[in-house]
Amino acid sequence: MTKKFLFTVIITIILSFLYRIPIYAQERVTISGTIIDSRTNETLIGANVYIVELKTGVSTNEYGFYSLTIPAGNYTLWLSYIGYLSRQESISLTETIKSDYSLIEDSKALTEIVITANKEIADIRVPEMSTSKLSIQTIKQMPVVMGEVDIIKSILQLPGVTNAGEGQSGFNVRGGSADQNLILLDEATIYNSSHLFGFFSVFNADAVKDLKLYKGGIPARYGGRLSSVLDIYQKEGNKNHLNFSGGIGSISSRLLAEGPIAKGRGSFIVAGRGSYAHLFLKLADNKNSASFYDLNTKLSYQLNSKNQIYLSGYFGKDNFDLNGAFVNTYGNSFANLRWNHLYSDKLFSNLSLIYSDYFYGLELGFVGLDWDFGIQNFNLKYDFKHYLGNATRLTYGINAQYYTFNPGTIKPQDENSGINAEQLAKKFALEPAIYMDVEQSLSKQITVNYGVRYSLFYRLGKETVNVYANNQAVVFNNVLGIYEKASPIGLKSYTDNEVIASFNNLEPRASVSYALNDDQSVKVSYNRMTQYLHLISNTQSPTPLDLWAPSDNFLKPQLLDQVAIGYFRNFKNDKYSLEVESFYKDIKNRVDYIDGAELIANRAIEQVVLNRKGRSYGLEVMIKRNTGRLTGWVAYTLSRTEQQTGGRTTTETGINSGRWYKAGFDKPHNLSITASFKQNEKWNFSTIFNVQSGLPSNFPNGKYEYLGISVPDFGLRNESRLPTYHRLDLSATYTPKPNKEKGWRSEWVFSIYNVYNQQNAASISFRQNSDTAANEAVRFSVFGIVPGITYNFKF
Amino acid sequence: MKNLLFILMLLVCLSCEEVVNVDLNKAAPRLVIDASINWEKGTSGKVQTIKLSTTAGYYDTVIPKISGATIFVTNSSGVVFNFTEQAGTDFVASKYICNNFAPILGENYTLTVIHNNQTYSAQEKLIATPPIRDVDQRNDLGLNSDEIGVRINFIDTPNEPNFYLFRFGTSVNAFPEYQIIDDQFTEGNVTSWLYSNKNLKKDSEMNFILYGISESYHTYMKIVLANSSGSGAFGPSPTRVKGNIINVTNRDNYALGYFRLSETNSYNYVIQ
Repeated sequence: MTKKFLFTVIITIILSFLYRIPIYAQERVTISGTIIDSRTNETLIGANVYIVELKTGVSTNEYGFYSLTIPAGNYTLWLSYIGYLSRQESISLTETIKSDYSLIEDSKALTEIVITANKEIADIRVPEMSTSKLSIQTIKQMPVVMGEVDIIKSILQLPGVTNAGEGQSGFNVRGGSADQNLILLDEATIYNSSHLFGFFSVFNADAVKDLKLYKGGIPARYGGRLSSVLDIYQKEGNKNHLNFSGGIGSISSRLLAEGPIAKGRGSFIVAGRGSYAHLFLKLADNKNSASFYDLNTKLSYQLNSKNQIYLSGYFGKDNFDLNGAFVNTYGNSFANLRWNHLYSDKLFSNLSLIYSDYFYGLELGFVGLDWDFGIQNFNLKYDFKHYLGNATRLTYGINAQYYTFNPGTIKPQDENSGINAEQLAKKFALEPAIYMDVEQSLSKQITVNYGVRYSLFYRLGKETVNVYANNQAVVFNNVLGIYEKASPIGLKSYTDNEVIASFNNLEPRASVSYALNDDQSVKVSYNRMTQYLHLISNTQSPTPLDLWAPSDNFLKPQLLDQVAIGYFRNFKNDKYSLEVESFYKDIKNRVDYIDGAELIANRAIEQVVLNRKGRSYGLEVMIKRNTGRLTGWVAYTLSRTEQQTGGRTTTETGINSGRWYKAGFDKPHNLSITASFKQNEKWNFSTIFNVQSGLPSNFPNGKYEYLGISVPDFGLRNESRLPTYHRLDLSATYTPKPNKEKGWRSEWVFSIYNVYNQQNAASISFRQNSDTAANEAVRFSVFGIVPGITYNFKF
Repeated sequence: MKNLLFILMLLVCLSCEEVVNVDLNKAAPRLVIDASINWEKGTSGKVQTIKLSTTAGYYDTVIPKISGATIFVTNSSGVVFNFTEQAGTDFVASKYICNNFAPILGENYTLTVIHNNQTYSAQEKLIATPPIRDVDQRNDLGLNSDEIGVRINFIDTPNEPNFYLFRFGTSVNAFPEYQIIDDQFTEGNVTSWLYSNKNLKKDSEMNFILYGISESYHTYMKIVLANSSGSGAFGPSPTRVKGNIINVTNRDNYALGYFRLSETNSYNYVIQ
């Protein structure tokens, strides 16, 4: 309860700060409205609305809305947005007005004006730091494997973001593991972001409007994951014309339809994508198959000037069939109903009702077993954005999520199977939270953003749980020096909605920006995050076996503290920008596993887990060229990520003798060069070059004979490293008729992944040769040179 | 299943495998005790062998032997069975043989090994094994449905948690292959395992042995098999696996290996 008290105290302090906002003698008026795309009338997220004379501004929220309260007077309004031409407007403000503006997309503009187009330059005055925005246009031009545009793969080119190797699902942000990323698509949580085991991501770039990655300084409105937030918004659809677009690639094809409904008061978008490699396999009489599809849908409708509703949905599915011996099906789906309401021209609200579902199924023909896993999640959110005067904005809201986890439904495949049908006990949880966030300019130099999130987590019945001696589900065998499962000493039954375990955490967040001048600033941020869900996986690389478990008396909520400091500078009239950031992260209660732990369909997962600590620190440097025919960036990250599972008592050894060891995705050096060159209206060339430290690995320091086989012997964990990784990719985009505005428009994207066919090691395995029985080391590489071709069209 | 995932990745991703040379460190040698007591159904189980060796460099071709050790096993009544060193050089590790062992199902045994003034000790129970019921030949296994293999069936011992080890010896693989199984999902039912190898053909000779094992040994073998299968990044991080043999003289100088006692059932099969 002390935390509740603290929360009240902090909110009171925040409010008392706010009421000290100086009152001006002049009359103050409000200008508010929406910023939209000139061609499609789509709202623009994060567009800047800036009052030149006052050196103050605001960016549009997730629904394109802005509101500024300033003294009455004549001003120059400067409107800018990534990938769009900036616009300057003279306004005479005498009373509160509503004013919507439209911006013209950069690619539609004449080349000479492109130089003034606003790109992803460093925002000098906003306290927001450790965030990255990438325009869909930039992402679509980047070379990718087999020409399949991939949002997740493109954010890997940003500083502080890596993954556990080629073809691996997920991504790691500043030493965080893949399950510590909060991935939101239209505010709904996506549990598995990959298709085909990580080769492609689940996001269809055609249907995506905007994305933003928070690596640190995470605002209080986000919670539930430790490391990062990848916030993706789907397009609403063209409000002016019915449009079709699509693409034919070597892996999949896409088709998108969008258009107005109810005479432009609303719009719809439907985008589908499906792979077809499995069809070729079938033709070739191959009984193996791999396929995926996804469908993005959205409806938006404006009831009146104060009310707008949105209904969005996503359905994705993967199917992998190895001749019936191994069939894997998984998919995310969600439906989200949102209601935007303007209480006043200063108070914006959004109510979201989200249902999401994650399904994972395995059919193991070789043991005659079917196994299903799933998460269902109801999410209710009510968020408010309050635009107070003097460039002060208040964001506050409430959020409640109810989860149902199905750890496993086990079924025999047929009557010959000896498998007994079984339903593992379902788990239920409720995660409510309340938050408040303030962004405020204290002076012309200093802008602050501070807030707090108070999160709670309840594990609820109905469930029967194991009871252990001394509350320890894992015991240390002092004689053998190993960890073992504890035997339960009893059972405790809980009725429907009875609280089994509960947690509450106060999560303060703060960032400060100090502008040295118009081109340079220094920023500092701190954030504490809590994660109540755990991904249960003990493999070195992430596998598609995504089992999630809620916190309970044994799996404690994960906690993170992060501090970051950064220096930001724009050069030469914003042609170049420099971002330098350094961070330190401290993680508690990360799940670690005892040796030999079985995680799949485990009836008592608490018997194989221990809590561990983690830490990571690093330096990130990014230099960008924002404008001109050649654009791109160089990103370099120097970092270290380590973990430790110590003994709980002095006699216990812990894991890895209780020593700190490198995380499986620790990459001390990571250099990425991304460049795009516009040759002329028809040709655009892009390239990516990566050099990274090889992943940590365990190489044997000996072997021995046991039961007639050779067993490699190992020392401490992750002391070795795979060879340095490097790769060059190229792509060219050809637009035959660039100036065509109507009718059939098309482009060709040619790409070559891994141009010089470098055989990068994804892993090195140690095993016996099956013919000679001699020990050998085997390098496994994923992609050699991979050419790709995609044809995109619009009409 | 991890192995299957691994195979899957190989298949899908235009990937390739290549044997490479890796510079490896070599740790100081450590004693390895392979104390596997196997009592084949229908035999007296009197003759038993325990093997001693040490660890070696990963690429070394010679396994160092351990000569001159004192080895005996004691049952719960205090009866001592001595294992004496076998002369000869035609085998990999040093062999110590007992000719009068008395196996009893469910009996607790204690192993003692004395070597270089260090005393090693381990305790384990002799575990019963159900018979292999039958073997069905299958000609539609593997990723292209063209591999020959077998489905080996036995009936799980009902009303208790059971753990098993399968040994697959074939003329087409240079070393035996192993698989651990438990009855978590097949309690009391027919329990099967599919084994296939792309090199099996008509007249290939195969031998299967089923061992009843303890839960601790099941966990131990799970790590041993993961370490030796080279499943790479799709398995857990490989670590040294500690068995049940402790060094009572100096705890840190423990021996690798395991003291296991199983009733066994051996089954020979020739591919039709």
